Amino acid sequence: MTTTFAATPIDRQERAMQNITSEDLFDRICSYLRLSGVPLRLDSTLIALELVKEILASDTTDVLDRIIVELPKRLQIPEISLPLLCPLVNRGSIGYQDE
Amino acid sequence: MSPTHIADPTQAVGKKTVHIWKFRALMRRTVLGTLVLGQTIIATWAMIIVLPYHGGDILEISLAGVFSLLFFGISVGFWLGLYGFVVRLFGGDRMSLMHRHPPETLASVQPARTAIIMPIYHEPVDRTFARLQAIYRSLAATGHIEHFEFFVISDSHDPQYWLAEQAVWYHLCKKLNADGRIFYRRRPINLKYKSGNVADFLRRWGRNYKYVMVLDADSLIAGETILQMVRLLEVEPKVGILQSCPLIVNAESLFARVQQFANHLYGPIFTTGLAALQLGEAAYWGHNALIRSEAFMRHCGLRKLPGRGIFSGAIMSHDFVEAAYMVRAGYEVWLEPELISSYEECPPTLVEDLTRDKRWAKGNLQHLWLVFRGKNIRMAHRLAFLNGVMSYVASPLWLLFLILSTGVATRLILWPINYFPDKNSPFPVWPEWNPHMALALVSSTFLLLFLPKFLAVLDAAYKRRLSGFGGILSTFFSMILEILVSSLLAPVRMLAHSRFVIDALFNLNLKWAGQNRSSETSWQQTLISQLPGSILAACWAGFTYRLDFIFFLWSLPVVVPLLLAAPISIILGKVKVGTMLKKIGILRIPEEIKGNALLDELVQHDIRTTSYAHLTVFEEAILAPAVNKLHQAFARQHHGREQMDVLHNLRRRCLEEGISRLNIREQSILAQDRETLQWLHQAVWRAESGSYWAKLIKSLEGTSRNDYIS
Repeated sequence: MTTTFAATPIDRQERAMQNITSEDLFDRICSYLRLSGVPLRLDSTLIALELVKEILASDTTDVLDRIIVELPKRLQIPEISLPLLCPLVNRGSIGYQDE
Repeated sequence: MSPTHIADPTQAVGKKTVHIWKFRALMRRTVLGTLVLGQTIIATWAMIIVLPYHGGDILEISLAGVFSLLFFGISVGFWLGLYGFVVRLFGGDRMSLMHRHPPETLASVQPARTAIIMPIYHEPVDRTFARLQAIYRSLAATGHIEHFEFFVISDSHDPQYWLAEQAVWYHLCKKLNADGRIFYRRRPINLKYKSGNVADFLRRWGRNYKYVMVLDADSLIAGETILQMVRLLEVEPKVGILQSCPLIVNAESLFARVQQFANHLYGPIFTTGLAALQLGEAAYWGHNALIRSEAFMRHCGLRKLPGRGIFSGAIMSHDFVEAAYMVRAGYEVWLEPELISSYEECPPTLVEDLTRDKRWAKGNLQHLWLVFRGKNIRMAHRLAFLNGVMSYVASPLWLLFLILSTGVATRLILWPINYFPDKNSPFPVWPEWNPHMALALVSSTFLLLFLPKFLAVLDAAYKRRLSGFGGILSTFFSMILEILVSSLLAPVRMLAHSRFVIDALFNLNLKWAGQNRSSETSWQQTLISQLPGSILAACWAGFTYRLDFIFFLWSLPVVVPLLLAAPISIILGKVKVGTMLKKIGILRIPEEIKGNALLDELVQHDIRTTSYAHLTVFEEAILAPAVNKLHQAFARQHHGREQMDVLHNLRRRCLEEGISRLNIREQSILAQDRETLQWLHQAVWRAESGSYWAKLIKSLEGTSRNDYIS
């Protein structure tokens, strides 16, 4: 199971990103990677920088959206495998003695 | 279910054994009852002699009556302690389950499938799961983990708690490689408190397990002990509940360390006495106990009380009632003091301790309904209910005793002497004060209160346990400190319990809340709690001083602790004081001196609940991709249009203003919806620069992360 940003459409007004600097963009990627458990080593940092460069060079207005879509394609985000939450219910009943 | 090596388990305990314990129980209870009653009658007679008119009027009769009730309780405690001392002196109770089955026989019994359940409600998440981890590891070390499954069943409704519980559950499963062996379930609606939570578990999964071990959030129990309990129930098919005697551990504050020391030193003789008296009709304390699930499910459902006021609604102190129902159904309930390595923790401060007592007071008072209206409940359990009621009602009785004593003294000093208090008697009565008898009465009462404590020291010396308390000198000084503290606390508890009983009887303001199991008390909290008692004590002291100086001196043991209740409470709540005393060898316990594998396990394998110190659990649930995914798995899908409108509104507010602007209910609505969690996760990472979430993300730069979910 891979965690991605791309599943649900977000209201356009909320996601519009204006005046974002390359530094902001890069920082956000780093934070995301850090919270995803991806170690910020040279190789991952270079990939992130490359991505920032590409996106800023393109004519897209939704820069963060693009980042979010592209990031999981380029970097291996660790997956989580969920343990079994609970066993199957084997319904029984509770007996009440008359009081 | 795993079969036992015994083909027909009923052969293991024949009718003869049952009849012997029942006969012994009858004998023991008759002897104890006679001794307690005889002693109470003598003491009440002495009290009547002490009173100026020798019980000649209603005031003195009331005083003597209240005294007899109070003395009765003290006498029961004394004889139980003495009996426990004697039983231990002769090597333990031969009737007990442990003595019936030698360890080598038990060791060959194959354990049956058992669920270990831990109901929790707003508990410190890291400590709670650390205890579960220690129990799991200990059980795994026995080589029989395959027979056991663990369930954390949560009633928490504040998402800051339950989101952390879910995250730490995941972490623990991964860490212990316990996928499919440790489960987590949260009830969205907390019907009938803890008993409802346990019943909910039993309805869903009870049929999968022959036995269920019930733990509290502060419970710790060794794997070997759990195994021993399961094996005992395997060979004793008539036993429905087996209760271990948990000892207090991990105390840090002075208050908790005093309770812990008393529990370790005095506990064994009292629990042995109690177990020897109750035998197969013991009480269930609600945790650190093993229950036979099928019998429990069939017979121990708790209906709401049908009466009025306090006698209506869910039964709060459910455990005693469940034991009574189990015995009513023909099963036995045993308390086994010789089961070792069973632990619990105690509230760290007086304020917290009293908060817990407030709940218990109401719970115990509810039992009055069952004492008088419960059908087919055994006399032993009716008396156990009454004993529980008396443990709180004794306080207002003591208060009444003090009021009546003041009344008697006031009348003697301020009113003209009445030579004919009994209007039907032609003989005059000269009021007289009998100081020798009064002193003898007070001394004998103190003897009954304190002699069992000294017997407990003798017991420890005889059993070579004194070194566990730091040797004879350390034990002696610790005991003196314990007696001093318990004497100082007695009047404070008396006043607090009196208020709780009145609150409960009038059904006032009571919440069932999680406990603070670790932090210290603030001055503000303490003053709110203790100031009314101190003012009352000052007024009473002023009155007695004006009335009579000798009476004033008699009142001081009650007045001084009440006046100093706030500072006493603060000092007792200090961890620093507790630690300092521990360092100089005072109030230590065997587990601290000799070490304990289970407790060491708890210290060595700590669990952390958040990966970024400055992120709340909820913020992390939204921001961290893996954590978000985890909580989505727990959340539900909501479809109703009205519900979706609410959700959309809350999502927008959360995105614009952050989580802290939403109340607990609103946060809960958000965190329980799968789609919302996913939506928020995506939205916050797209948040514009300068927005709440963008700033929060910015603050993560350069911070280090504990890889607790990865």
